[in-house]
Amino acid sequence: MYNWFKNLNKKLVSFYAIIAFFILWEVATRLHWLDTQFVPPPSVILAEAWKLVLNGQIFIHIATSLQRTFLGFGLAIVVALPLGFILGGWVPAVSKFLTPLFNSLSQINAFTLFPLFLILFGIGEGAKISIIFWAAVWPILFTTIAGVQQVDPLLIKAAKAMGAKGVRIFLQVVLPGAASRLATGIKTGMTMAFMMLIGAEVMGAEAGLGWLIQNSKKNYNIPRMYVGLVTIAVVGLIVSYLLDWLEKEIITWKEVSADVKI
Amino acid sequence: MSKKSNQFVKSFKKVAYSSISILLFIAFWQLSSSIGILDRAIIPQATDVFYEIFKKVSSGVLLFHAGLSFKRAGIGFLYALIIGVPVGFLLGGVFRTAAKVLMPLLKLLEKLNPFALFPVFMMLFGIGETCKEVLVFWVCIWPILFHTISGAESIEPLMTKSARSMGASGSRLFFKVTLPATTPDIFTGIKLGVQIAFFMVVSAEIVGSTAGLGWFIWISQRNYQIISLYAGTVFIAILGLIINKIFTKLESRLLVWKQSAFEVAE
Repeated sequence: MYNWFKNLNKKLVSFYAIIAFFILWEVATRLHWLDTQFVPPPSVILAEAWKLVLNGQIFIHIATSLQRTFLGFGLAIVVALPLGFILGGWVPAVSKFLTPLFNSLSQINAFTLFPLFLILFGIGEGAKISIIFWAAVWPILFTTIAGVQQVDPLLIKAAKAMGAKGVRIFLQVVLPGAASRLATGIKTGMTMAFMMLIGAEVMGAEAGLGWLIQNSKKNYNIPRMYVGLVTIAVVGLIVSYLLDWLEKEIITWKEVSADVKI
Repeated sequence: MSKKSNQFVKSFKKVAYSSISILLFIAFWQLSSSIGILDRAIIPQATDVFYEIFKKVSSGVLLFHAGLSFKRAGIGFLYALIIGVPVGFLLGGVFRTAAKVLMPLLKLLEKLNPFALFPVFMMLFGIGETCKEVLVFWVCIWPILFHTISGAESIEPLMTKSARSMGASGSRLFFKVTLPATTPDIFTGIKLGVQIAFFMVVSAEIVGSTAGLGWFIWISQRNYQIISLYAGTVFIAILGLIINKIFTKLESRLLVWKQSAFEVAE
């Protein structure tokens, strides 16, 4: 019995502070230490969230936001993965030459480019998707190039010695070898994509979680603002857990750590 | 003497080689726009853009807005530094269990999207300077805090013990052992903080402001002053690159010292 408690306690430890935080928040607002007009109690926020779940609105916004994210992110993958493979594996000299340019470009923050992209791609989805693309493409590109370049050349030579050629080497040696690096890059890209998504939506959209926050602020529906904030965090966490799970499922051949005694 | 000049030539060559691709990119841009492949209304000539930057810098306009942006970012960042480093030391060095308990909460707060928080901060602090400074503070405190905590937690206990056995205590122990050992980690946090501060301030100015670099490019876009827009964007990009370069250089100086300490130990 005591052991069971101990184990439960161990698992819950990480949540204690969070739970305490919310309890403190609730108490502080009820006792009017915080101005409830600006900081509503968590119970009110939850009630508002429930309302939005019941009338389905929250799902529309989540779907819109996710759609934008995946469009921009998908585009980034479609561009960065092949480019990364070509630059990293096929023409490494070109990649070395282009690296300073890429480094400089990648440091230009996506949101700084937002006004520019508005002009280039128009006011609609184009500008939003393009900054999501820009934010995601660099981490994916860099990790792909690095991932391909760190594949053990011995493995490739061994494969060649056994008669494998071109595509086969790529699919069965390079790709698996670079896979865990790729996964890291893809996860980073997703995080950046999500970050920019909200920025883009806050600027101007007709739906989506970022729009929800802006719109709630305009209509002085303060609890709804916080609902948007929390939803973004929750959706972000879910997506990131999903990617982690996908990585575990697909990459079943993680390298054995060097200090494992065989 | 010749060894030093040799090194200088080497690093100059490195810089020159790495800038080739950037220069080629600009040249390619200029060529395509002067031939007419690029729509001038959307993508102005590179020369026009750089001339505009020169004009706006010499007239002081860009420098004024840059100064404002830096001031906002600087204040937010400084508060993050002043609060983050001491708290980081307390949590990482003294109150370790508190750190363990609080970490999940802090990590959760760090994950909150700053763009999503911006309307919240605007509502809480009004549209003026405070709101942006608070936003920069919020965004900077997490890397600084976490890196300080991790730096304080990873101090070799042997180091502290041997210093204590030689009679060091209190502030002497702190300034001669603890602080230098954690400086590289803190500095990494600072570097991240600075980068993110600059980015956040410009973004905040785009979303809602009446002056500053972000406002400058936003207003240029609004008024279809395309050349001005490009000039401002390129200027911001250059500033960002310079900041990153400065802090990376500083970081490598500090890190070298820590690494060589370990090499000596081995």
